[in-house]
Amino acid sequence: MRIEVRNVTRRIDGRRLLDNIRLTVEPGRLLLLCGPNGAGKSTLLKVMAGLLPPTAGDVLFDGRTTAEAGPGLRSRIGVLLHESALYDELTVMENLLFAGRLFGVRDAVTAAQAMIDRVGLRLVAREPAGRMSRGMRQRLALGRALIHRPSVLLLDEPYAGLDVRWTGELTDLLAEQRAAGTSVVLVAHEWRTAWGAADEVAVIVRGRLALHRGVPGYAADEFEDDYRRLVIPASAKETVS
Amino acid sequence: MSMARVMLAIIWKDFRLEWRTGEVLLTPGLLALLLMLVFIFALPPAAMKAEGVFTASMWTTLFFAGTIGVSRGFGRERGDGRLAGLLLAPVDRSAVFLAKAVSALLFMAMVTAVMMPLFFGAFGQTLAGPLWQWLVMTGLVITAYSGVGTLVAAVAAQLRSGEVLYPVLLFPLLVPIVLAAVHLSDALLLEGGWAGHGGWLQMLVLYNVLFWGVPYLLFEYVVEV
Repeated sequence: MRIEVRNVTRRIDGRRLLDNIRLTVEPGRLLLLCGPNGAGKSTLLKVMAGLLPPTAGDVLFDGRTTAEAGPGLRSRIGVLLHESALYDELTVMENLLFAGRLFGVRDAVTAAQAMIDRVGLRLVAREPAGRMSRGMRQRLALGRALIHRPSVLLLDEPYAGLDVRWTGELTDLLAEQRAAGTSVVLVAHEWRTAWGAADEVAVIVRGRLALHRGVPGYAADEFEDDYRRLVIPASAKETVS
Repeated sequence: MSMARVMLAIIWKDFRLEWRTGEVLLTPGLLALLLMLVFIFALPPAAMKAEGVFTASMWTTLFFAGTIGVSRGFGRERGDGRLAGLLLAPVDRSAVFLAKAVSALLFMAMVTAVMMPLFFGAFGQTLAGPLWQWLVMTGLVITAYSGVGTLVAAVAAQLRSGEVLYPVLLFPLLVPIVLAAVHLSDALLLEGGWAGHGGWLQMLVLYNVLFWGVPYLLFEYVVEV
């Protein structure tokens, strides 16, 4: 599914959290979204997910605005926010079953079992989510975002809390998703972890799109230099003011 | 994807959580039991038979106990992105309000079904009017209560001190329901029916339409992630 962020602005109390953002993500491509703390990355992801309305502009999916597409569009979007959206007292299986039913998955039990295997939680499937480690909860939250086989994935810090093995597994999983034509927008503070998986990279600074370019042919070290140049002056100004 | 399926999924989840925690059913149930005992010990035996004392004690107890249940039912969705998780469901967001209100209604109905016979027994009351009228009146009262309670819980969930403010926001809105419940109950206990009290009945129906209909239409604007 093609995602087009068209001149999106979001203001709160006169403060611009997002300022005229323009981005496009083609089907099967992964956009890595970077920026300093408070730059507006998570806000942009929430606007794209339809959880926050833009003050101006639109987000289009396959050329249709969210209003035109209606609530049914959300069945094609998988979202992992900074928070897990898990219920601590429900087991791993129940959390996934609930997510499957919420998104209208036809055979939610089979889908939940398959997802438990995919995120490597078979041994703790009957354990309450509240008893699991940070990394296991993150894998469960990922399973929750993927259970309905979305065409668009919006992931906020998906690598957070994952160990080395599951960092690699997540990169493989993202490659599978891209191969299946899923468009992915991934917010990562530790951008180097996701660099190999990305097709494009964008940097947001103070709600503005400061950089957007393709990753192939763009060395990670070169990006780091550009990123520092874009981000550090902004942070320095904030400190001074 | 139908609204009914999403609502069933949310209600199923609420009952699963309740099975594990007992927060919405057991805690209000125990509170109701304790409040009933407080009334029994505090009231002089003669006063327990006085007009209006039984109905006022019973409805006050149920409403106080319900406050915990309804507030906790929505409070569970606060934090860790759970409300956002519900709002991402691919249906009209009013389905979330309806599901939470139906959950609250079912839990309230269970507490009421246990507590009402206990109150009748403890206060030595018998019903003079037809049972069906009592059941319809009780149904209208707890349905209106669940609608108002869920709407206020949704609003309170957006506020920093929401859980503290919840009863303060809720009880002024409950006054007409309390009045209708007490008047109609007294009529059914003492006069043998609700004839001549149609105004209170109409008000309960109006309250139900208002507090289930308006939030259904406006829920999307009430909640923000």
